[in-house]
Amino acid sequence: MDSATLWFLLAFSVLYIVLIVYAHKGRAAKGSGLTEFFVSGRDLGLGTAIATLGATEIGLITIAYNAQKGFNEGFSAFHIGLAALIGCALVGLFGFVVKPIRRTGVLTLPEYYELRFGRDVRVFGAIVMAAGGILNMGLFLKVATVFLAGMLTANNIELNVNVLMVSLIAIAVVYTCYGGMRSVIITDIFQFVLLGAGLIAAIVYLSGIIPLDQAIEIVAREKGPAGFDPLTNENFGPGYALWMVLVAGVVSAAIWPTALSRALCIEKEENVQRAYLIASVIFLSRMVLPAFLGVLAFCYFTGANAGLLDSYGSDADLVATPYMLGHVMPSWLLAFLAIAMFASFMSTQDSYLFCWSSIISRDIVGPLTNKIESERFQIMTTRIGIFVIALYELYWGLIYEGKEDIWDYLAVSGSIYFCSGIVLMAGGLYWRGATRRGALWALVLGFTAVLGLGPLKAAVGLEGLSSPAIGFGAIALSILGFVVGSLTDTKGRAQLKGARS
Amino acid sequence: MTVDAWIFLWVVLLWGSSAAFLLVTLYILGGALKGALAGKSGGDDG
Repeated sequence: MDSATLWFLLAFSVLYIVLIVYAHKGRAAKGSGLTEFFVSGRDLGLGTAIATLGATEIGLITIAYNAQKGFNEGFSAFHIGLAALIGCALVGLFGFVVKPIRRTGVLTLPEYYELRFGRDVRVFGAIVMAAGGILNMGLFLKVATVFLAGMLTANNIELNVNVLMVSLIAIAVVYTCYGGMRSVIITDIFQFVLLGAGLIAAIVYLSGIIPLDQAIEIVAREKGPAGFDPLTNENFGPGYALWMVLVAGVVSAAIWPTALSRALCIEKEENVQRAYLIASVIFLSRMVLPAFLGVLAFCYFTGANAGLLDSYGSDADLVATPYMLGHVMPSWLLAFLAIAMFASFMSTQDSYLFCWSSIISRDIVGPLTNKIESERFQIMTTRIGIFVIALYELYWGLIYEGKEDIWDYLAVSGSIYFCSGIVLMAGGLYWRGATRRGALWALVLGFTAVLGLGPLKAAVGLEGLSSPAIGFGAIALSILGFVVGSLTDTKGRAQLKGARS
Repeated sequence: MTVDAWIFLWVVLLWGSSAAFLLVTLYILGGALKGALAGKSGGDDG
């Protein structure tokens, strides 16, 4: 056991806790009430908005899945970052969805569904949103645990993975329940600075061990052109790249509730687009930098160190990067990185726990029990939701046995919500003729995206279709349902005309 | 696009994204410090 690493871990942990407590003290809630709890009093400035937007979407899970992609596909995995940059910059330039949704003044996205389409669409839409989102975060805990344990095991610090899993989720639950959205945003800022410093330091240090030109040479030798060209790589291709512009860019920035809820917290409406435009470079970095760590891990385990991953079986591509970090980093940097990774786990975990539980509380349980405006009831059910989702995460992490890369699992599970979500948000905001019936049909048909999940795809015999093809198909079906449903809804259209005149 | 052109693109993106990430981190850290020195609550720039 490396005692120097343990001492550094202890020192950095204490420092991290002191800073978090200090930040909480300085940023005490400016009031009480639902607006404070759900959208942090809607008082975010530009800098904080960028940090929280970027930090929510760059968690330990992001590091892990991108590193896995870099390890498996080489430099061609960088195209996902380029796609994310393009998609998020487009959202920032045109204010697609984010600008008009901020103007509505809603606290959660399904609340907008009610405003535009009616209460039943709010409840049904929230169920679809929560189902996709909770399924999506099902592997966060497991992957974070594997990553942290991999880093420390390589440094001869033995950890019980199950104890680590329970400890991580318990800390996240207590923290998120304690302070609502304001706590979430404070961790985001800390995590962003810590992870930014840690990632850059790790890349600089590793570049001294595996220089970039050597990495390019090894990837060229071992993977051929597919290691650089995403369009000819058999696991990517033009359809996949296009799917990435949509998923990693537009959807991650403008449709995914954890990101879009940040737009609802920004104080000044004119800062919304600016925040997204600047955050687009974070959307690039969050994919490219961890993918590069994965490429370096591939190079590290090619040749002399090849046997080190043998005991990890099918998890070897996931464990490779943390194992390399634990193997080569000096004690102080490894301990700093471990704390930065823990902080990044926390910032994503608390955001996601909070987002989905607040949707369950405010948009499903609230409307069904007529207690939407009861502050006590809303906060209590949100906290119960956080606890229940955390239990599910523990369970799902143990039983799911899909064979796809983590990123592809996330894209497909997320598509259960966003295939209809993008249609309802964009259609509702930009098409005046959209009606309740169209929205309901779109929700039902968009749900077909669930067939993209590995085990379900196999069960219904769709193995021949790629996940992007199923995703695009689900969006097309959802648009069709939305348009046909709205056009045939004569009663709804008459009501709309009446309301306008 | 040739493999060499892809390599050039990825190297530019790698250094570009590293620099951009560092700059945004410094911008946020600067904002937080500025706010803390000015006695504002935790450094929000709003």
